[in-house]
Amino acid sequence: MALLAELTHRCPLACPYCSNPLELTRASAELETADWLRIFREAAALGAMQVHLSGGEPLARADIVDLVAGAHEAGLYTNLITAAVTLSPGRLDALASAGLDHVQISLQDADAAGADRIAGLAGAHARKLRAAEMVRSRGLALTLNVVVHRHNLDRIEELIELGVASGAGRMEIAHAQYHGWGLANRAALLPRADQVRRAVSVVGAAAARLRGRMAIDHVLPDHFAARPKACMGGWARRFFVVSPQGRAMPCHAADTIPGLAFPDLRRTPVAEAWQEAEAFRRFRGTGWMPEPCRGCERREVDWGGCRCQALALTGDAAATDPACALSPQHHRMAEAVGDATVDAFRPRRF
Amino acid sequence: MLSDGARPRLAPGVRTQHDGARGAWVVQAPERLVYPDEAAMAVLARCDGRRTVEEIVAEVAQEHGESPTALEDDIHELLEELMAHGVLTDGGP
Repeated sequence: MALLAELTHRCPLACPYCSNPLELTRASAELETADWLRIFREAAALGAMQVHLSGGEPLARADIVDLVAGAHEAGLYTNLITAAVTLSPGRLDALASAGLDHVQISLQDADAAGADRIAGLAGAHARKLRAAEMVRSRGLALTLNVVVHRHNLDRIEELIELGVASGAGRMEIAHAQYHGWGLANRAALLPRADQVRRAVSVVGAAAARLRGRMAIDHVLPDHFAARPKACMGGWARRFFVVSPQGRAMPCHAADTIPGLAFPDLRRTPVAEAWQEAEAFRRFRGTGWMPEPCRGCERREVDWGGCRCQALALTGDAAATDPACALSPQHHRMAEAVGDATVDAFRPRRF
Repeated sequence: MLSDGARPRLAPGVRTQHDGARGAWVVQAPERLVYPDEAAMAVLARCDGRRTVEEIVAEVAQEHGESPTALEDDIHELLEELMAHGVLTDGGP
C-alpha cells in the first residue's frame, strides 16, 4: 500500500487539468502537522512503504520539512510531487537533510510560452528548470512529469530532450485524466487521434533509445484504448489517499461518487478506514462487478477500470468503465473526442 | 554489455530496506517497490560503487560454494536488467 498525501489544495499554478476537486479546501480546514505525522506512522504500521507528498503544492505547507522528517522516521520512502516554482536552495537542503528520497517536478510544456500559459504563471517554466538543476546538483533522485494533452502533445520530442538535458533519472509522461478540473476542461484538452498515435510511437522509440539512461513511464490515454487501465491499481488495493482536510479515499477523485462516506482521519485510525470503511470495500475486489466485467478474464488485471470515469460518462459508478470496448457505453469515449473542439480552458482557481 | 570492471551502485533515490511487516528485503525506488529474492539480494547488497562486477561475482560464488563461471552469466543478466530499470548505476571504473 502507498500513501498519497494531498497536503493542501493551495498552489501557485492554475493548470486546467488539475486532479483536485472543483471545490477546493481552504488552508484553514487543512490537517495539522500532528495529524499528518500520526497518519504517516499508522500507514507505515499497516504496511505502507512509500508516501507521495502532493497537493496542490506541498511546499505551500510551512511544515513541509517536519512532514518529510516524520514520514522518513516512520520508515516511509518519501516522494515530493511539486510544481517547484517556490523551491529555494535552503528549503531543498533542509528537505534533503530531513530524509527526502525523491523529487518529482511537473513541466507543462517544452517552451516557456506554452508552459507558462498552461500553468497560468509567468516565469514558472524557467523557475522549474532551475529547481530541477538544484535537485540534480545535490545528487537527489529527480523525476520530471508532464501531463500531456492537445496543446503540448506535438512537442513530445522536445519535452523528452528537456528531460535528458535536466539529468532526470526518470520521466513520467501521462495523458490528462478527465476528472475534476480536467473533466470541466475536457473539450479544450482532449487530443486528436493522430496526435496520440504519433506520440505513442515517439515515446516508445525514445524509451528504447534511452534505456539505462532515463526511464520513461508512459500513461496512455483512455479515450483511444480498447481496454481500461487498472485505475489506482484497483479500487482500495494499492493506494490510500488522504485529502487536505483528512478524508481517507481510495482515489483522489472518489469524492465525485455520490453516496460514499469517507472516513475522517481526525477521528478514525488509518487501519480502520482501510479495512472496514464501506467506501473502501464498495468496489474492492471483483464481487461488485457487473457483466461484462464479472465473467471477463481480465477482471483481476484491470479491476473494472475507473469508477469515477464510469460515473462521469454513464451516470453509474458501478458500471463497466466505458474505456473498455466491451462496455455498452464505449461510444461515449469517441463522442467526447468528437466534441473536443474548444480551445479556451478554465484555469483552476479557488 | 556490462564490463567486469564496472562498479555498480544503487542509483540516486534507490535504497534497500527491511520490510518488517513482510519479513523481507525491499528495494525502494521512485514509484516502485521491488522484492528481490535471496540470490538477487546477495548481489544487490554488494553493489556499493566500490566492488567491481568481477569481485561481486567472485564473492557471491564463494558464498554459494559455486564456481564464478557457473554464476557469471546470471549475475551479469541481473545487473544489466537492474541498470536498465534505473535501480543501479555504474559507479565507474
